[in-house]
Amino acid sequence: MFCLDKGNGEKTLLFLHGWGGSSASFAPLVNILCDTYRCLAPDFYGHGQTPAEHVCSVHDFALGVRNILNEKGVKEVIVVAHSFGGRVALDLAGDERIKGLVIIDGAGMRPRASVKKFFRALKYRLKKALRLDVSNCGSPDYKALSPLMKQTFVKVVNTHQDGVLRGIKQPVLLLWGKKDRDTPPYMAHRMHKRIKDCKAVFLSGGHFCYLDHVAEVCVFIRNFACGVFYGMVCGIGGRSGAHGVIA
Amino acid sequence: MNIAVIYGGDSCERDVSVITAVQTMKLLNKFAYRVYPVLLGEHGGMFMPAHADDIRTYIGEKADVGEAVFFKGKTLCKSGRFMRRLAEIDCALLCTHGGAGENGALQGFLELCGIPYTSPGVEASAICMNKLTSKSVFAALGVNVLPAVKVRKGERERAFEYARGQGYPLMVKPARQGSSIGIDMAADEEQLRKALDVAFEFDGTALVERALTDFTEINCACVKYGQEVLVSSPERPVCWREFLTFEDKYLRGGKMSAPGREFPANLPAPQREYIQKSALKVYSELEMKGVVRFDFLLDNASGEVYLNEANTIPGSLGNYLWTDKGIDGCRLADMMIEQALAESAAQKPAYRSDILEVFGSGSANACKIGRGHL
Repeated sequence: MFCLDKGNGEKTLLFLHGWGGSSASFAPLVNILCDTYRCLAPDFYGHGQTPAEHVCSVHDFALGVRNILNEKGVKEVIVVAHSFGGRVALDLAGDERIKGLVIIDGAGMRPRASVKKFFRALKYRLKKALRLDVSNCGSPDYKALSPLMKQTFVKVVNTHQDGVLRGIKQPVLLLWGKKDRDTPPYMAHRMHKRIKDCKAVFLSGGHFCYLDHVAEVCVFIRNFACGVFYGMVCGIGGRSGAHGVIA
Repeated sequence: MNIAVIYGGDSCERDVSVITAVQTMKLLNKFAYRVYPVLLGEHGGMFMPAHADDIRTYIGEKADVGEAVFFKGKTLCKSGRFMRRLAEIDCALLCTHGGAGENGALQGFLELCGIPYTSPGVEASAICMNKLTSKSVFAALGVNVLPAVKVRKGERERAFEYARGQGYPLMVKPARQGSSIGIDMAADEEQLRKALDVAFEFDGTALVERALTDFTEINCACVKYGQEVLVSSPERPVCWREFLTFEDKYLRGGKMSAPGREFPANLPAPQREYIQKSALKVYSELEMKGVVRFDFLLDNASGEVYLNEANTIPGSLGNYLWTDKGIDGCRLADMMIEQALAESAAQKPAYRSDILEVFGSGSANACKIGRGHL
């Protein structure tokens, strides 16, 4: 896996990008945070500068990230994950080198059933049964992929990690777009409810809200990192207080 | 935890203070701290603006915005027809620059209220505020300073006398102003007269010192955390607030007009060491706390380093001086607050005498009869 390595601080941040993105998706954050932190931003298989070699599951992606941590000799790291990166982050959460998670519009929760989705699936099944052309079915994300990545994609989106949440011991910060349609806020509420040490912040904007609020998001990450790395007495730990909301 | 961010005031640097406060309020951890902005009024009083972390709040005709508040001991209260308690303040984060906010007056007020604060104490603040006092204190500590003479408003003759002995160019500064306000260079008698006029506009006392013709300004900050004092890498600022006038910058051409700064400054090892050592010395000898920025002047011709002044509450709280040590603004604010709380929590020795009882028991002179002579 290709990995961007910027900044030379003692403390490390690991940025996991979303589906269809690359290490460059986090460039605005990395450029600001690299003054005091060492920032690692890998490209996942089939994204950016890393080619896809075989069909991967979420766990394989996580293994790739683990290898990077080994290679770079990182002892303590905070993971900043967006969307699909959130799945990998949830898979990685068992690793003891990971001291905290910042999940921005993360995926991985089982989506709610909806009438729209039911009919879309019905249409696909009917077409398949009637041996019609099914190439125009599927999400735009899916249609844009190579055949190999298509299989990976199917594997990934059918992995639901709701069960992992209760086992997460690290402090977690959720940053969510209020108008997010890909991973709606109910997923954040579910995570907030089930993760032991979790804070949630809702920002205005959609699935890429962190790009609209680069300065604020950086401050949240910095504050979170201070709490995690230096163990502030009144750090982010504990469950007191409701959601912080930025209009 | 409730944090009062105090800023504003009546000084010339009020606007800089507002900027520092807005920046700092944005950096504070919203989960850990509840921020109470306290804007010191232009003519006294305290105010709490509604959208304090938005700079647009302060742009407009009216300088003092928000509702009037006051401190009742540690409690911040809203005044008006009915008093309302807002919060018990755990720590005050001071973002005031110049004037009563930096000269120890505000620090003394907070000490009386029993609120821990994140700047050096009354004594150190007062010393560093006055450029003449601070010069003599720094010199007494064995730190290089440029010799200066004190000139009061009515005693202009002293300045001209000093000029005859010292020769030109000379630097004229008001004794108690920050941010290079009212500072001017004088190359002859006519200019000296003008420079003194300007300086006396701002303060009744001015100082006249030898001006360095070819120099570099170097900044270095210290912050106390736990038992140790961290010293930052020296920085060479290149910015508009230099006490160079516009013509100076223009004449020097591209060299000075380059935006930004050099950090860490590219300095020879002996000078670098001297700067860090003297900053540490002054900081620890004056028993300061919080971030203090020391401004040094490096004479390019001779290589001598002079301590120019100490800023007990630097702009942006000096958070740009720590990035190479892995400390960002958020961490710095946390450190300052933690330190302020730790120092105020350190037990003060309790001393009780029985003089009142003795006096109350009807003795004619308690002090003579009480234990020992007081």
